[in-house]
Amino acid sequence: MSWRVHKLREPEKGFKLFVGVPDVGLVGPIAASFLIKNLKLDLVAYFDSDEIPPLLLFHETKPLLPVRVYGSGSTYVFVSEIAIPPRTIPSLARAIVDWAVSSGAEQIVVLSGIPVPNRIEIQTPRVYGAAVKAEDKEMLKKSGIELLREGFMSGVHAVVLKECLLRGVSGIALLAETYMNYPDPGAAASLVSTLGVLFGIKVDVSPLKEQEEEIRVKLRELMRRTMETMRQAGKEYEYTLPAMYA
Amino acid sequence: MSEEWFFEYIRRIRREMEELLAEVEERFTKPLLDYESRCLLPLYEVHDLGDEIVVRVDLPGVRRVEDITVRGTENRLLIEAKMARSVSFEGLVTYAQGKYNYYRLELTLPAPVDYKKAKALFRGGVLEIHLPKKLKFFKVKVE
Repeated sequence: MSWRVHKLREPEKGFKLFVGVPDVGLVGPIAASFLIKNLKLDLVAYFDSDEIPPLLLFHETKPLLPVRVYGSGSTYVFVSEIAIPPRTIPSLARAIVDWAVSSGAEQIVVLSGIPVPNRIEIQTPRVYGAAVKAEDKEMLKKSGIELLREGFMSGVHAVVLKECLLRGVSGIALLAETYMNYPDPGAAASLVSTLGVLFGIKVDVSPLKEQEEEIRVKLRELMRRTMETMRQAGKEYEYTLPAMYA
Repeated sequence: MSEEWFFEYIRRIRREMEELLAEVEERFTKPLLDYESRCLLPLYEVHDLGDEIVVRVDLPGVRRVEDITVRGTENRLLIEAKMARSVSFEGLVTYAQGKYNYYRLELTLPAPVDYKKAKALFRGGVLEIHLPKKLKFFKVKVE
């Protein structure tokens, strides 16, 4: 199983790659799409595989592949508009890290969510962090991001961090408190705000909050497809205590 | 004659299984909207917590509790809700084009419930319904 990368433009060296792939609450793709639109990033690469559904996307009459990278300057964003089939997740994570490293990325930051049962009562979701390298953990702590201390992490963000760990690449996961099975633009807004604190990426998140209801209605189908893949991808492991904890 | 109850029992089990399968199939394959009735199917979860069933329904665009109706029987639940304003699906390649402003969800509950003790909470566009099960408790003495 492999992924093909169709490069449209080479990035400048030393960039940060933000990754948003459908998972709990669709937090990653909502945040990624918002960054792409508001930072006016350019399309730089397509990722394609025979293992994903045979789809072609149209946006304002323009044909697009559903898995793409946008970027400009030091900010690049990987976004998938389709739920990734579980058995394709490891090869996708490898392809993302391969492309990022060979293109000169200095850091990979995966944007996703952490499901909380009381999300209905939370006004502003908190953002938690996990990092591979000690200096990145220190940077998160200094910025007031609570680190995940114990337990399993499952999904694309877990496998991207695993690849970063194995290759000694700087990898961070930022996870906002979210609904598990409903699109959560509020959680995405928390993530985008955190990027301002951590990396100086200043974007006004008020449009995201204003369009919250519409985004939730329109992403229901993608959420349903994602729920199905999460069920097959061992997401329930996040509720399991590791043996070393005992 | 004496076996009739057994065949009726089998027929009932088969009917219930067919209903359940149809509901599962509908949940994962049908689009989340009905073009004919201009109605959206919301995302939802059903949790069996032992002595109660919790149904959570995502109703983005619904603002007021007065716009939500929850009805049902011991085994079925029907939720209808009106959105504050319509949502448009324009320019899509599918038949889903047009305006929608209404949710409808009908589902089979995993166990009979005591609807008189049911409670519902609506916050942030999410409806949460707590349905205590109809249970007969007994106590076993442990020696």
